[in-house]
Amino acid sequence: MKSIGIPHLVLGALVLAAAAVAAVDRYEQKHVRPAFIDPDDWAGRTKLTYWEKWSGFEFEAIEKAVGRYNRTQGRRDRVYVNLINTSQVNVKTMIFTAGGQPPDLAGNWSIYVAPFAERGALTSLEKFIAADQFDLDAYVPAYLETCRYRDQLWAMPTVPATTALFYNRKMFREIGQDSPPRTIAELDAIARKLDRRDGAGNLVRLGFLHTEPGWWKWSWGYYFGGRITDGKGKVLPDMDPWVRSLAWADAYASHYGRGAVNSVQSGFGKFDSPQNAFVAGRVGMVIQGVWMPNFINRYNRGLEYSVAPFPSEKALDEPVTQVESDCITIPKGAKHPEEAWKFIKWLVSPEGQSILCGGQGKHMCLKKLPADFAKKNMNPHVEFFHRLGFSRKAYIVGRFPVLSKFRDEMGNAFEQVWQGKAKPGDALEAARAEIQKRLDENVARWQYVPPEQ
Amino acid sequence: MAMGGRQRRRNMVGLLFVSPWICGLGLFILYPFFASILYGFTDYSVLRDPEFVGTDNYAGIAADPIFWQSLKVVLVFAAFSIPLGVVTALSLSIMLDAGKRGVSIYRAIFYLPQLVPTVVVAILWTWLFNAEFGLVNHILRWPLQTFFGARPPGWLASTSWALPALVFMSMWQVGQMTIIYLAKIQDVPQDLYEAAALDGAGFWSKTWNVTLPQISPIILFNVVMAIIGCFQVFTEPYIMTGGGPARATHFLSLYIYKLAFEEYRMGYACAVALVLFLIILGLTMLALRAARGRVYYAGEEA
Repeated sequence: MKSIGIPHLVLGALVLAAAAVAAVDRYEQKHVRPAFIDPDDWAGRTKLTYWEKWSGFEFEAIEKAVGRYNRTQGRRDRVYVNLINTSQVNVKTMIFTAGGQPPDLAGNWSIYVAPFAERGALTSLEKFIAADQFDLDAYVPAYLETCRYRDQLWAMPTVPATTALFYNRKMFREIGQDSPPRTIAELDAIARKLDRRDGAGNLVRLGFLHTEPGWWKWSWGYYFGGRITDGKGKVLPDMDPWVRSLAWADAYASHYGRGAVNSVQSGFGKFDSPQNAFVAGRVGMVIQGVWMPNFINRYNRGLEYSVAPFPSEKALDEPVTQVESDCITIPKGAKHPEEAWKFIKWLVSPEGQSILCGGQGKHMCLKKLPADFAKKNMNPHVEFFHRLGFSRKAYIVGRFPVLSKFRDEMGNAFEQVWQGKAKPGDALEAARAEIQKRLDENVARWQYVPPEQ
Repeated sequence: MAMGGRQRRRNMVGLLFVSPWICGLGLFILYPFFASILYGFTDYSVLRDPEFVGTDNYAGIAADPIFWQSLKVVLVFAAFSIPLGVVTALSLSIMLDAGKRGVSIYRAIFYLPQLVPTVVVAILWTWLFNAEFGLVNHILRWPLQTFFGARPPGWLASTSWALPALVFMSMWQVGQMTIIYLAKIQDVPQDLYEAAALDGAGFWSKTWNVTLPQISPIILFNVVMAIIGCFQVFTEPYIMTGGGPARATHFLSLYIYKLAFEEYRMGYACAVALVLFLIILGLTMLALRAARGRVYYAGEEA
């Protein structure tokens, strides 16, 4: 009898491993992952690969939405969507697109629409919209704008986000404050009243701090009436609002002492943790987005808080807010663009939006929220955040072709001022020169001057 | 002499066995290396075909304040972390060599941090450097307040202390260097120490006149590896500070990453990477030249 050799053993091990993987995959499809359906059910359909950036509860909501599609509309469309959780989706999509093997769908952030579209990495949705006479009027214009570049729609917003002031109502009661601040001056006055120090003079509670959470250091000028470009290729056409915004931040750092601020700031926990400065009651007011109530519910359900438009330098009728969105794109070179568009249409429909946005505790891109959407939503302020998207003072992040450079330089200017290394005017002038240089190069390379924003 | 069929077959088998490595070297090191040199002369965003721009990228680097700031950061980091690392590792290895009991346990303890993934180390040290609740300030708070009336620093949030904090943290991973030194120290012939003892040499004299000259090739090796390592530091600043505050920890490798994957300026990033390579090469050559005549190799003729 022939003896069993090493090649037989290796082959046997490979077969066993493959069988184990297949068994786990089948088990997941049936019992664990709601996005998947029985393979027998998707036989004969076009299989789409969909890369999605989120993990955690946001991904679970996407899974539910994809699962619903695969079981209902996907059957009619003869399309099956294979959802894959993909970290650093922007980098991976870029590399795979360059290599000619992109996914059929990529869930990205709207800030990447402009640079990807500029470099020919996305499929324009215009021809699909025209062919289907797809009704864009049903969507909030600001959210659509996050996905528009050079007058073309390159993606559809799936989950929009707006920002606002979150304030601790219990702390407000302590100081006899009934209403949230409407202007920066009011915010400053309330913040001072909310500050607390221990017996040794150490700051233990702050009313407001620009660096908590510190994600938008580059954008304070918007609340002072600033613009980032004038539509003629000039960066920071009016410097004064931006200088005033940094002087405002500088006044806080000077007031508390830069060392003390650094110290107290580094003691704050991570955003997604029970030590989050607002959740833990160490900061009374923060700028945050529509996602924040999810984290408050998770870590401190009893927190008494409310939301209001973030104050601006002058009291305005229209609130200033930042508009961004999660979006879904069809990378250039995707194998099944028509089928991908069918899925996109469903995902941004009231049914898809209800599952996706409702599951994430956020609002929708649609102008009209379904009747029971707010009632069923875990976020009690979802209608407020939805309304913010209609503001004429909403600033849309992402349409600036050198946004990454802009954020980097403006963030650095903020830190220079915050750390006392430079005066606001000097820091901004240095930042402006660098951004202008990059924008000029970009304009020369791509023959495109971004609109006023 | 012509190669026999048997010899040729043996060579073929040998080549077959190393072929995965040769393929890997060609595909993942040589091709990217030479391609990046070419891309350094182009405007290349990965998603579009590269456009030749001559030496524009290099002219841009010369006038790029972020490049110079990043280079300054890495040079300052190297200037402190390399000597500190070498001295610390050397001291530890000499102490371990002198130890009589439990040497193997200490050796394992000093090497253990090396086994921890860099990402975990970075997260761990972020907590250690936490200004309010971190262990570092917990230890420093009382003496600083009692004797100097000062507060412990904000470490990673401070432009003055963020880079020193990363230098201090780099000491965490001297275990590998220590083990290499220790292996070489234990290889030093005992008769040299006995001869030195007969001449009346004490501990310091023996260390200076016997140990250090004998292990000098290993010191040189560790210095060269440390130079290369310093210029490749990425994970720690990426996770702990993001290059801030105010670019105080903006290492060159971090800048290359941002250029390539955040700004999509792959051509320019390749040019900066080549400059980084040349800097590492230059410093390594300098170290080798400076060591000439100062390093003792047993096989060399006097």
